Amino acid sequence: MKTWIPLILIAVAAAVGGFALQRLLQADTNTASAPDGPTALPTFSIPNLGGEPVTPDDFPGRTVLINFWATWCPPCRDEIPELIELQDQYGDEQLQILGIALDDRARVAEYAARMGMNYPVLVVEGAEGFDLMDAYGAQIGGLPFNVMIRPDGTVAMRHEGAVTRQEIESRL
Amino acid sequence: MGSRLLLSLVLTAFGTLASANSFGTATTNFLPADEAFVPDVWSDGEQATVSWRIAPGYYLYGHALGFSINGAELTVGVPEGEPYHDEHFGDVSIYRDQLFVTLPAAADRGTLTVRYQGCADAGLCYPPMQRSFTLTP
Repeated sequence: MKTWIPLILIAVAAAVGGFALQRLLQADTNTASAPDGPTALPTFSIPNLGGEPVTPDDFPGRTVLINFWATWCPPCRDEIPELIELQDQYGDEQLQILGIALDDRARVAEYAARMGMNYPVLVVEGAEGFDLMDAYGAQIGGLPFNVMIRPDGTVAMRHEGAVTRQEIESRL
Repeated sequence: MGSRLLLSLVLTAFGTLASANSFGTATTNFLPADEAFVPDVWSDGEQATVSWRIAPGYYLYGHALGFSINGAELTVGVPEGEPYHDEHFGDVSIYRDQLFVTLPAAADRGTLTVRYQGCADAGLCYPPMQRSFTLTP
């Protein structure tokens, strides 16, 4: 019996440790930290509202937050004022937000102007936008979906559903 | 007794460690669209009815409902929903739990296509969806 005691202690410690790690990882179950390397990420070149193509590689040295959204999505619209504030606060060197709207171009242009969106707004009108979202790791295919990519190309955050300013700042 | 306990503990340890080893895998609390909104169609021999089973915490927009048969749009009366104000859509209706829509009697055969769109209260909206069903008289 005595020889089993260390084994039992090891098993209990592993179980407790595993459980704690699981809880830690699932503290926000809509968010995942992912160690993807740069080669694992898709890329894109999508025109902004002015017609200029924008890619995530246009902002070297900055963390890029890609925000997939639509005007018909209330939780997406709720995020926009906070994203504008974040771009104001961190935008000079640290953070670049890219909004990819899966929506009608004219509606997006009107909304972006009305809200004073201060970061590039790209529009994809077809289903390709959802394919791009899937390529970035979306599981459900709903909006909003946010992906934060560090300057070294690794993913700092993937988040399905409404995200808070605090969650974004905690990953910067 | 002791060996069973030990085996149980070891298996538990491996199980929890295995489930914790999920780095890089996106997880979510949200249901896939087809589990959040489950459409069905049936006929009583005279009229067809479309139903949706809507998961708790999810809702469908009334204004996003659409019905067509063999490509022709149907004018369909839908039940009164829960009033809902949306900044973008204005005053609209939403449906929770379940929704039944009875189609016109003439719409009893062919390919029925239903369109719908909804969201989760927790802050996620699904893109407009459509599903097709074959109606036979």
